[in-house]
Amino acid sequence: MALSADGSRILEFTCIVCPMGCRLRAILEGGEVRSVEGNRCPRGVIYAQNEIEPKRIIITVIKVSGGNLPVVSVKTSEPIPKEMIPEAMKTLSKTIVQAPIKIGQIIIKDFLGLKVNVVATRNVDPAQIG
Amino acid sequence: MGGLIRVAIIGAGVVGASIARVLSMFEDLEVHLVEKEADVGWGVSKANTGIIHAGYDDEPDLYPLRAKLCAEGNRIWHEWVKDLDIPVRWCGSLVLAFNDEEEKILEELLNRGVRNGVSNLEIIDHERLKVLETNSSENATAALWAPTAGQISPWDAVIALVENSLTNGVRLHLSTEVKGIKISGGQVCGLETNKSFLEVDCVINAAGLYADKISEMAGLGGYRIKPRKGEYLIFDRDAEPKVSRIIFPTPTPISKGVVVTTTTDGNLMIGPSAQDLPENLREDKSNTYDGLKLVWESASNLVKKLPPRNKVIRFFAGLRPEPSGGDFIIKDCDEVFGFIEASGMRSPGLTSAPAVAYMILEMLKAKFDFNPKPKAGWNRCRRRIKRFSEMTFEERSKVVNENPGYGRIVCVDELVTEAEIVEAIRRGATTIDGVKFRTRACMGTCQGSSCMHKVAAILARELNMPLWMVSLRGSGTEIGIGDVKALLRDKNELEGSPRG
Amino acid sequence: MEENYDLAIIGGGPAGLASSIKAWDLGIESIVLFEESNLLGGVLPQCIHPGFGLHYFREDLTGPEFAAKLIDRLKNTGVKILSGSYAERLEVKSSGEKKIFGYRYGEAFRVKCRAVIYAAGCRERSRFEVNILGDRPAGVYTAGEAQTLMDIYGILPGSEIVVVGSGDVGLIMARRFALEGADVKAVVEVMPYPGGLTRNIVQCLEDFHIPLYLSCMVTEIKGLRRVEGVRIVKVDENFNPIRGSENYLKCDAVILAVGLKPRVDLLIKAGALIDEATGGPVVNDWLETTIPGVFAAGNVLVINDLVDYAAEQGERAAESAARFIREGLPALKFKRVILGRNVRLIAPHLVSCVQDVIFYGRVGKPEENVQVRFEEIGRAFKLPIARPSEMFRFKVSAEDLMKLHNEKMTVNVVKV
Repeated sequence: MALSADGSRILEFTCIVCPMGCRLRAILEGGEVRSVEGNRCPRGVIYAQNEIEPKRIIITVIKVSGGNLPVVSVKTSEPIPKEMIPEAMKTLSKTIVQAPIKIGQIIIKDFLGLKVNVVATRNVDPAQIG
Repeated sequence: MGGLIRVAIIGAGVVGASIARVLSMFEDLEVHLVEKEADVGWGVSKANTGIIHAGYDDEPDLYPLRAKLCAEGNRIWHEWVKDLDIPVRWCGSLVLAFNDEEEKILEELLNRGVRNGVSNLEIIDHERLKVLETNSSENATAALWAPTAGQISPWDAVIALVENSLTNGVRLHLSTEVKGIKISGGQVCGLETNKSFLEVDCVINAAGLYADKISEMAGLGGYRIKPRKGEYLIFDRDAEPKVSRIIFPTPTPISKGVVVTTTTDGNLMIGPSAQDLPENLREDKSNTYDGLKLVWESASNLVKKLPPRNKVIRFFAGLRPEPSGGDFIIKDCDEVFGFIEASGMRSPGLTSAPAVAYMILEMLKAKFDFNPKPKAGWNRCRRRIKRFSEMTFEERSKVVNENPGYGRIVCVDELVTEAEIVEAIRRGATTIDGVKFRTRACMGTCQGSSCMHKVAAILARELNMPLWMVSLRGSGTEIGIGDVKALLRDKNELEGSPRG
Repeated sequence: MEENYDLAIIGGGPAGLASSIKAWDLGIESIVLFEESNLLGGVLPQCIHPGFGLHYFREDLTGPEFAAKLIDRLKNTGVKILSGSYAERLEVKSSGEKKIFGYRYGEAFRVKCRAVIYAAGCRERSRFEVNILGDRPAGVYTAGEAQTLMDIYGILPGSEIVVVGSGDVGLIMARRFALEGADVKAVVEVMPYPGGLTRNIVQCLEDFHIPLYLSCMVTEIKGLRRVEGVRIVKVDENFNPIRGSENYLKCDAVILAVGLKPRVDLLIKAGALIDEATGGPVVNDWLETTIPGVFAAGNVLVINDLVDYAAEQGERAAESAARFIREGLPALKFKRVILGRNVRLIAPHLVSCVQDVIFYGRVGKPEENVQVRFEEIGRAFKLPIARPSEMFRFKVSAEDLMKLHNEKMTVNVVKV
């Protein structure tokens, strides 16, 4: 973070939208993005805006009961604020879901009140008996 | 005394297991094989070159036991490998000389071998050497040819000996560490272990690297064991060129030198180095830059060509138990009735083991003044697990029909099937290394990165235990620290207020 | 079991799945797919992170989701799917007859077929292959192995982690461990630049404050029974250790992401020629190996960064195999593709010059503002950022290739 001549704040970071990895400079005024430089495509501007309040998709596994596999892979349907990751992971560490599970199945609705869902990304069949 | 004599053998390495097998041949002996690790043969026995030496190396005036027992052991192994179905290559060994001085040493070795009772030793010239070993170095001027030498798989040998011993009534105590030896009235009465007290009349010390500590427990301890590290490199099975014989350099007074050999499974192997470690470092089996460099350079001198370095699939190290006097310590101790030493079994310990076993038997007979009856129904034979990888397609079709688990390939590189792994577990493997040494799973090019988890899953299923608790080689080597949420859950429990 | 098929596909990962579907769509009716695991999808079911299918499906999918889309399509075909079946050996007679020998629970099988697509993927390099010395305790895993343990079996391999290798696989595993509460001490990279995509450096390392040590090597693992720590040393431009730069990192698990190698044993035993640069088989622009009628696709052909490329290669192999089965492939003179300046590897290796070719390759050293030039035909492609860890993929048209009159075509990477 730096201060420019006219007192507005400048934030520098690397865009992660595509492999180019453009080095962006976002100029902020009053906490809002006034302009973005260094991007080679328009997605960089959106990314910069998001970086002020960075968000990430959570990717993990959660425990399954009664399935042919002990865990199912899940993701959040939308990115959630980065600083909520530890709490998200703690909550998911206590979650157990019952087989069968289908890809896309919503495991947790409105996760942490953030209006995103936790969805399964793998099919899990019921455990075979015997 | 009369009646049953209870014997405990400390150490289930090749020496202890050989003694167990021999003692199991008789009535009136209750034999206990006591081992501190989770499986047999995990000390010196699993990490050595695996050579059944011909017997010309040891000077009988200096090391009478080594000299006598090596040649004898060699002869007995020729029978035992058949009885016990142990993979062996009776390929013979060649000691290479590169100049006149070394050729003189070959003469000494030849004479010594003859004195030790070794048959068919010969000094051969460069031409004959090239015929016997096409990959031998162009610079070798002569060689000592010992056709009676062989390459064995040392862990296969221990496993075979123990299985046969168990069939014949020997009791195996794994993960049982001897903490003390109870002596009363100058006589052995039992072993104090980390588990229970084992009441016995006779203790045979075959504890390898820790034999001197065991000896001290009995109030004896007239010798020290010093660890000598030997590092090895193993090549992929398809790496060429290999060697067909065991190739030695001319020996020095300290060691037989770095060897080039092809294992019974067809892998070229080179080593060992010889590095004396401080007495207290009896667990240091680390590989070092200098050690491996020395092995590579020395081995390169013996052959025309080694395979490229990128064909090495594994390096490892073993420790030899060097006794302070240099010779084996095989004696019936006068000071403590019933305590017999079978220690200091540095090279040629593996070769000598069967001969040591018979020598111990005689000591036992003399000490307890009895002539034990041969056990009726003693089973001399043991069969190893049938290896799918060694069968033809027709043979494979047949076994898969009989045992469907032979159709499930677990280790692709070595073509090891689920049936073999389940059999290994049935025969006593409780760890990944236990399965590995009985089946060759995880010993291939990938070194377990593709198959170890499959082996672990089978162990977990067969032994009804959580997967993360399956271990590589016993307590402290579990493959996981808990289920995938173990750390997050702990954090949950530590933080936050108690809930109602 | 002894059966006859037109086409046998070995490997049920993305390349094998895509080629099965494509072959069926092209009208080949007698197809068998062998997959050694009970699960289809190859390595995809354990790659639970997104980034798959941006090209192939135009969607950002996780690995399992990508696999599921292919598997669902495949299940709607008449392809005979044999999971839990290991194809061990391929025998090719001089007549061209092909026999595959393999095994599954309760059965040894021998299958005859007219064409084979080999898509068996790759394996990971071990610590022994990168000369990490020291002890050999429990707690040393390759990245894929750790991923299997965590995301298929649901167990945690360690709590204090050092990752060796900063390619995407290593970065992704660093994040996995950090997410599950482990302390990831460092990612250690021998090159002076990271191996993975910048976005992964940000999302995997920076997000979790995991240090990245460039120009550093793990030389030794210490640990009696389980890993206790690693010795790290800084290296110079020639990868020689810099004296005095040694450091010790305490950890209980070492995760190795130090390279992948195509699984080519079956092809070697069947007599196929292998390319030293890719580690995979030498192929022509039909993706046919040096054994007529045996094709290769996916990571066994060349280690791909994107699953989309593996699937695409599978489709290409299927097109070729279908043609081979129906009418045979035309007898053509193939010209060699030569690795020129800063081209570490490229596939295919032989071109017929009668059809479009998609080339997959990698540079040897990172450069910026370069062109990949196919010299003798005067065709060049811009590459603003060239990194060894990022495969380049260019389609060269038949029209351009027909300009090739030499016996060979050199590919150079040159600065603009």
